Amino acid sequence: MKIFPASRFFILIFPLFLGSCFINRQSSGEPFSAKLLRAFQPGKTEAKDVVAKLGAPSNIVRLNEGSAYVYEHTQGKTAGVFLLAVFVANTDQRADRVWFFFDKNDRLTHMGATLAASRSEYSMPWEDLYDDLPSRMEKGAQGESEK
Amino acid sequence: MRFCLLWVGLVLLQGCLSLNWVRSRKNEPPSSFAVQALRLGQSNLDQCLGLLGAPLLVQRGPGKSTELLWASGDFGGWGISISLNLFRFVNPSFSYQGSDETAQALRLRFDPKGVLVQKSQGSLASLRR
Repeated sequence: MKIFPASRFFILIFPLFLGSCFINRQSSGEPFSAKLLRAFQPGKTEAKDVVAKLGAPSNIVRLNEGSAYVYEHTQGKTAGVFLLAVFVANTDQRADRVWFFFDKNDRLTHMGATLAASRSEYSMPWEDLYDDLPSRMEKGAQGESEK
Repeated sequence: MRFCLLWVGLVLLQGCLSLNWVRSRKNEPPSSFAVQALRLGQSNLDQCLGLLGAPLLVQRGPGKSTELLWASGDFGGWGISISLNLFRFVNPSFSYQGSDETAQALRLRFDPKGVLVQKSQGSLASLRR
């Protein structure tokens, strides 16, 4: 059987496409919105108010004078491709995270929030994931931050 | 004949040899612009939280200070895996996964009044208590 060069090339590379690709998404914790966080006011909100609205925190840290509660929601996106004998995959995990700082009377003194989970991307290892960060930072905030 | 052997070789290769490039990135790094804007003895906790967002960790520091850490990780690298099915119960395999691990962190220390007194940058392992 005579095979033309073009057909021969196609048959040769055909196994490349027998490989596979996949995507996967993992998340943990409950997401929360900037709108919800605006309800908390330093100097007014108490620890019990935060717990009533957000539930049990992911962690509590005892500080020298007071405590800090953290709430976290993470989202990771993985993309991979298997071509013949080469496998490449990348995972991008980012988080929505908010810290509440309370004084010794459990009154909110400070809070800091980053909402970045929704910015996680399906991507390949060679991609620069944070190329848009400098422009966002020059505006003076990481994600949406609350004082 | 040679072409057929090459084709069969390529098909079989899929099952026994693979080169891997796996990378995992966690958390956005703190902005260098924001870090440069922080001033020792002048910036306070509110300003730092506003510029950098929520830290990864909060911990008690020496004296009555409080430390906040922002960190991001970039893990992974090249690897190779070889496995052969020679005979029944004889399946030798070898795998190697290189790991270039960089977990960079920024640690800010605040005095009891919430004023920034120390700013450190380095690996997360060296800055975490």
